[in-house]
Amino acid sequence: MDGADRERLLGRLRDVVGDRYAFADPYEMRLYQYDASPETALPDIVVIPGSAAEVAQVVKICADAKVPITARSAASSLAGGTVPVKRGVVITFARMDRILEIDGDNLRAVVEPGVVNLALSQALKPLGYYYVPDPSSQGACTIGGNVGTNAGGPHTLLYGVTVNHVTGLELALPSGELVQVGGRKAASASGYDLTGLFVGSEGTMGIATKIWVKIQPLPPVQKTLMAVYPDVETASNAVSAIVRSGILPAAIEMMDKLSIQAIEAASHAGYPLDAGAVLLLEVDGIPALVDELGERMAKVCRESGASEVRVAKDEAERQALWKGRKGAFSAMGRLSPDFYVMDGVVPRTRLPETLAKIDAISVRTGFKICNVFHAGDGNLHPLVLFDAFKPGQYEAVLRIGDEILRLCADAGGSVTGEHGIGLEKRENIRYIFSDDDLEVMDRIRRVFDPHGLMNPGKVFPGDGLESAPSRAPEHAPRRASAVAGDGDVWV
Amino acid sequence: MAEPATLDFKRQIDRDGVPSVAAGIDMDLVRDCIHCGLCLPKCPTFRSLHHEGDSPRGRMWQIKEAALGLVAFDDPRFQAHIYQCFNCRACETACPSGVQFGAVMEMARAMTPPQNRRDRMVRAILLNGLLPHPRRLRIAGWLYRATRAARLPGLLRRSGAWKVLPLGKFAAFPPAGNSAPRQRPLPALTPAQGTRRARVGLLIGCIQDEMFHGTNQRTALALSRNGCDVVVPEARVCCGALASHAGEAQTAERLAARTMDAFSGQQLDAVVVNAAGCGSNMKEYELQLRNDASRREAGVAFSRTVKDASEFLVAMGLRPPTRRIALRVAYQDACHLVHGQKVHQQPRQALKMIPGLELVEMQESDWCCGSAGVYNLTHPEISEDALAWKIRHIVDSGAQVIASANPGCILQISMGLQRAGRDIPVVHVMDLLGWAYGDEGQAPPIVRRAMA
Amino acid sequence: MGLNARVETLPGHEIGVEEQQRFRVDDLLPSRVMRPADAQDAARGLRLCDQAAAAVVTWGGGTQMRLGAAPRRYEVAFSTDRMSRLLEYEPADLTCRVESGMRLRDLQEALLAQGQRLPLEPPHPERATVGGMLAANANGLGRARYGTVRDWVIGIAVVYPSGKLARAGGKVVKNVAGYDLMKLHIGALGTLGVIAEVNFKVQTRPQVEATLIAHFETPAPAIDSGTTLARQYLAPAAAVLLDNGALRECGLTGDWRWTLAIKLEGYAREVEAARDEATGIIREAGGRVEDGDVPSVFWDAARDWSAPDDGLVVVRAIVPLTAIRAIFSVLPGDSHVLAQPAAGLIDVRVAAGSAASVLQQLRSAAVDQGQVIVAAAPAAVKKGLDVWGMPPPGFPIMRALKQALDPNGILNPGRFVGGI
Repeated sequence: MDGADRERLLGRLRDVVGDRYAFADPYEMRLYQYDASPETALPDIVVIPGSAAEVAQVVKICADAKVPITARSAASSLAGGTVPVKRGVVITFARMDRILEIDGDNLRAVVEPGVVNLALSQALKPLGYYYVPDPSSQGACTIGGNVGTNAGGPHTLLYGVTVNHVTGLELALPSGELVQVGGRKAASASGYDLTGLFVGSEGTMGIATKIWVKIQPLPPVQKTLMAVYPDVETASNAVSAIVRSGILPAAIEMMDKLSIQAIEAASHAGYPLDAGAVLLLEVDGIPALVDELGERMAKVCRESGASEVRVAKDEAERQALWKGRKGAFSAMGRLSPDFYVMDGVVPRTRLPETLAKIDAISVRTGFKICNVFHAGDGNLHPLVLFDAFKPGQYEAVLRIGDEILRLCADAGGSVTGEHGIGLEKRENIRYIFSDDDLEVMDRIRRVFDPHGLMNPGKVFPGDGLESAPSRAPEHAPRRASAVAGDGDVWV
Repeated sequence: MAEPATLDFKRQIDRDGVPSVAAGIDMDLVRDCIHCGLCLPKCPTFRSLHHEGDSPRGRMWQIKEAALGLVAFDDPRFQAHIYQCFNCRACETACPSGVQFGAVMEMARAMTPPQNRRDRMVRAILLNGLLPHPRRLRIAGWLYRATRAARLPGLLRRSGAWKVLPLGKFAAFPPAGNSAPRQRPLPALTPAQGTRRARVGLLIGCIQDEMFHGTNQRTALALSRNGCDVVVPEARVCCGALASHAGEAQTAERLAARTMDAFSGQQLDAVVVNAAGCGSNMKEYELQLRNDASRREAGVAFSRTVKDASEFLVAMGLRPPTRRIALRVAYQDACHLVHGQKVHQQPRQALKMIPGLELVEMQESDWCCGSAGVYNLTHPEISEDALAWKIRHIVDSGAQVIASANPGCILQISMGLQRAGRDIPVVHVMDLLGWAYGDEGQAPPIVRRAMA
Repeated sequence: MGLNARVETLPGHEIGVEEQQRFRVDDLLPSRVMRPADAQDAARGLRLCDQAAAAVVTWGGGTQMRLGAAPRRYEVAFSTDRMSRLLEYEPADLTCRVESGMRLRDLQEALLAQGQRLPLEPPHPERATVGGMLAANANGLGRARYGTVRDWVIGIAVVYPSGKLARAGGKVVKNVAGYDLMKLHIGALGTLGVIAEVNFKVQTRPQVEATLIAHFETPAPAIDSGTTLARQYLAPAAAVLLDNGALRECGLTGDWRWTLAIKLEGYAREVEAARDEATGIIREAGGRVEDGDVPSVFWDAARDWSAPDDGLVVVRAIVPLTAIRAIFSVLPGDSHVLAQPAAGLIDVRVAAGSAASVLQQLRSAAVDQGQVIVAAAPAAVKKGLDVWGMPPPGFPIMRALKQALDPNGILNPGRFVGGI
């Protein structure tokens, strides 16, 4: 965008949101070039709208001018999801952070996209409800961002991820319209499930300006157990043993020795520094049941090789354990100046062999790799520790990340469980999807965003958006006799 | 215009090698920030201004860029964002990476003077011209108390002049506290009552002693009732907190040295401080004196002896006060106590020891009230925004009295509540404790009634 | 070459009169049947249909064929009955992959052998297929507790008219790579593609099950009990509210005017506590809790009630919990009703003659709080009815999605919302 175009566009945007909330000063643009990933790119203009109506106008102005739009809330993406790699306009939701309604009777809440995940659960708590998905970054990440990435968290093992808890959306479309899809009802029979399709589309289909979420009664009691294992392999075999035992806990998290060291250095959560690996397990329910399940689970843990099983004796101890776990990524700073986190998924039964292979990569390359992850889901978060101030390390670490994702894909898993493809993994997506798979997805994207303006450069490999998908000529009706020879498979 | 390169550290380093870092910035501390964003929802200026540049993460990023020469320290936009920070350090509490935000912010401020005229004026007059000079301070204190004795605040309120005069709002709505122009200095030694358990120094402070002399008396009383010999050094010292937090590094360093000297050679078990900003500052002397080879080690040792009054008393085991104060009290966490010193529970525990006192929690008790050292003078608008939230939460809490632990907070919140027409006095934790130990001075009417 | 001639050149076989009747959809009969052996086979076949511009109706067990508007045209019955294999099942991973023509009951039996299950019970599981369950979004009675089909499908392979076989999701329980096309195809009634394979997550069977029956003189307190139960931590696995007519149709006798049947599942202690809690809630609302067991055929009949095989008309209202009472207030006296108050779902069997007016009344009672659709009706009745009601606000997007994936409009033309 040249200077004159930018000024013109800025003027129109300021007419909508006011001078203070639209700016293009190159200095200020530098503050919107990053998120929590290693990726960076500068936008041309930043807009901070105050309402859905303003978002709709902003989107229309940008769409008319064919300028890319990237939505950004907390910018806590670990995959570069909010980095404006094709420049254009960044829309942030710092002012749209209102909880619009809490409707306990219908078990729903309605929020603006900038509402912080934890703030919603805190507002619900006095009423006896909570919002289930709890990403480790829940103290910062927003419901809008959660919708974008279909965020998960430790407690989604039993209760499901974001898409299972969103029932409706208001979308700002490039036409300038605000359209409501889904809503307050539990079920839907009004055409295609656009809500479900939109959740997890990482901003490439449009922008959600209002979100209807399910809320759920708080469990009467939660019991957290910590099982100490001599090594990662025994601990990951124990995960399968627990699942096979017929108890599906609310959460099963694993931390290896290095992670425990980092966590303890950061928060003194109470993890044993001499453990080879630790499983953090949680069951919730009525008191009598939770006691029974806790005992059964402790028994399974011991039988599967745990040297010690400790039950958090009070809420303070329980909170400390979870605080340590949720702060684990950031705590890595205590071990190393930089880290690179992956988000691969493997079937639970493939955990031991996958972890062994990751360990082999660490030994081979000399880079330390920590593992702290959602073991119950098979959702790995290997953290490769490095020092960006040592030339060559970053490139080496990117190669390691790529190798790990390949491993996960080959084990029948996925290259992202909750962080999203974003900018970072758009080439890795090919490890699990064929060109045909991606072509169908791209076709759907174009329905929402025909000009490739919504968070361009994300999700799809390469610059795939610029090349039109083959608009199959075979769609024209024509004679079929040429293939009638296939008839033998038809009866 | 040529576009500046984006800060793609990692690839840039792979390509060009490690960049040189500006002297005066400790890059290891800056690199602790992994820009995860967990601090944003806890930042009062981000809540008011909605701009990434006014969030802790954004400020760390700017400091990182400036340190690497990608932006200039004297860029007015850099200065604006850096000086718009309360430096309340709520982000430190929120940060799982252990970023020492306050220390980094002070380094950054030391690299660049403030940009706005008001800020420069406050520095010249208050930080450098008044606080470091005991005699000027005493005159200012006398004037302050004299105007109160002459009922100037009421005049200002009735005439509306407070709205236009500099410092008008603070003069018109002063906190409960000293109003007699003359006051007797604290004795050099207040002996321990009962079994002697410790010998402590008490920092009476600069502003604290002029405006809240009674609080100092009650702090000494509480300490002596708990078996402490309380030593008050003869030399009036300002610990340098306001200067240090505002980035006036030279003034701060000088005052730190003077304060250490004042307490040296007294065989003290601890140096007790009842102003959170001062305590936090004195616990960080080792950082401020890191460039002064002759005092670096002494700084480390001194910092370890510094204790907040409630922190010290609770750790020692508070002797239960006997006088009832039947009041609903909410405790407002002073930023430099909760975030700066991680002292959160002790003031509450101390208050709960008072018979009849019901401790209630307000929402966001650990959010800055907007006082923030001299911030309410340098950035009144943003400060007022933070104060408005605070007043709302206090009113919602149903508290009859607010207790805090820092003179700045007490001034600011007291002003805000009075201006809003709320008769909710703001006092120090040590005031309530002192009254409960039998002191009679200066209790606001509602407290006096509750003690009856 | 005309359409008929083109259809004749397609693989598969022409069908006799009897088979034609079997694959009848409303008033229309197909002229050809295709029975692909697997996903690749289906891809080739569908592409040929597209090239021939032959209208395709995908057939599973046919249990939901009365749902939707009458097709505009219909040449090929595309049956998945040969695609019925369980492709992968790893009990320790709690996941499986199946072909879309697999019958629900067969799948459940395979899972049962490992002590597991899919907590979805669409009507007629002995005939209903996995693919049909997805396409019709056919949920059983457990939706308030266990969610719906969309909550259990983790991956999908779909055949498109272009001849592409494209996948989305995967085999793992947590996965956000690429678009969630599972959601798009669930409930799309086969208008966007033919579902070829489905990956599910499954769960361990509950330790115990119990049923609680209560009866009420009027529906309001029964509705309130049902919605109150839904807001409890120990929500029931199913709660259905029936009038006396529906009760008898589900195999129970008794003179109770309104019956609330509650199914409780879970760990023994949990079920015990839930029973006490539910009993308390019902009694407080003025209901009478019956002692004694309920014949197991009751739950099967209740499950199948809303997908009748005969010529009955079923109108379905889907509303927020707080709007259920408004729907009940306009029900005609002679209608039979089976509601799931915890899910905001009310199924009503109405006489053919009054279908249009009931539909109208329910729609005005639901206003913009919900939808009212015809869940089942014979062709003759459907003709006079607006089966889906007003298209929703996002309809232009839906039409564009249809155009993008099925540009020649060969898949189930006319049966879906807004004439899609």
